[in-house]
Amino acid sequence: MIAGPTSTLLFSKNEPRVASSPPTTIPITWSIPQLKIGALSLPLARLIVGLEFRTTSLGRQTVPENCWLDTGAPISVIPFHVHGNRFLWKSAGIRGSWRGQPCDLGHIDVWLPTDQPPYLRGPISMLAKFARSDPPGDPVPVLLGLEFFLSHQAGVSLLTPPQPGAIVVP
Amino acid sequence: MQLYKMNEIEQQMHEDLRWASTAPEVQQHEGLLVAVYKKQVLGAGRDRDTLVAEAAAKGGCPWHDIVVVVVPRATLDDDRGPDLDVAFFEE
Repeated sequence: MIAGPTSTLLFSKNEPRVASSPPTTIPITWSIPQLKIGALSLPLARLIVGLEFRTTSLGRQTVPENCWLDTGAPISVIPFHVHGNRFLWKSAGIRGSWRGQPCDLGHIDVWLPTDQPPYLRGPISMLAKFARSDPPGDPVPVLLGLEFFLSHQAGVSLLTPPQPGAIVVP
Repeated sequence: MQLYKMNEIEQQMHEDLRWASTAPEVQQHEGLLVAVYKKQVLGAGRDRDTLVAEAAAKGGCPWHDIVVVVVPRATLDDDRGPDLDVAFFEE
């Protein structure tokens, strides 16, 4: 028998769910700008997922943000310019870094879009690195990392590009 | 998970973000943050606070009602600005 690391088990725990709650399917869309270099045209693709985050702003509970699905990121990242003074999140008391910027590990409630607007589903908790400053270079949005899929047992399906894909959260 | 019904402003921002994700008038601002309010581009820039403040003044709307979208630049370098050196690729 091979025993897995305890830390993996900690991050794989599911939140309690209502048994009758149907799975929620979140669309994944392709963004494919073309880089033209002479006669060469390179597609530079990213996968976009829209989520709603708990906010501190008055008169509302959620604010929408586009995320890049980042399978190279073990943990989601919320850049400073995205969360600063707007997101209501709770620190886990653990420090880290992202692209050279200090970060605080924390949790934030997120809601998932449905195919029945104006309704969302949630909240569910997202663990993320909350950056304390922005790195040099072009701004980036929220990076949706793999911990989100582990902790919520969410599935991902990608069809032949550029057809939309889907995240399914049970 | 529970169903949550967005209020009017939440719904407007939700729709603004969906629109901005594909609208050509937004996507043309490569490498920048773009401020959107009621499916109109109010401005684009690199500093979010400055952009939102100026966009709110221009649009006559509360700053927290403005959606900001990141538009990626078509570049081979993730960390650099707009001046891509393409000499390496030229024959």
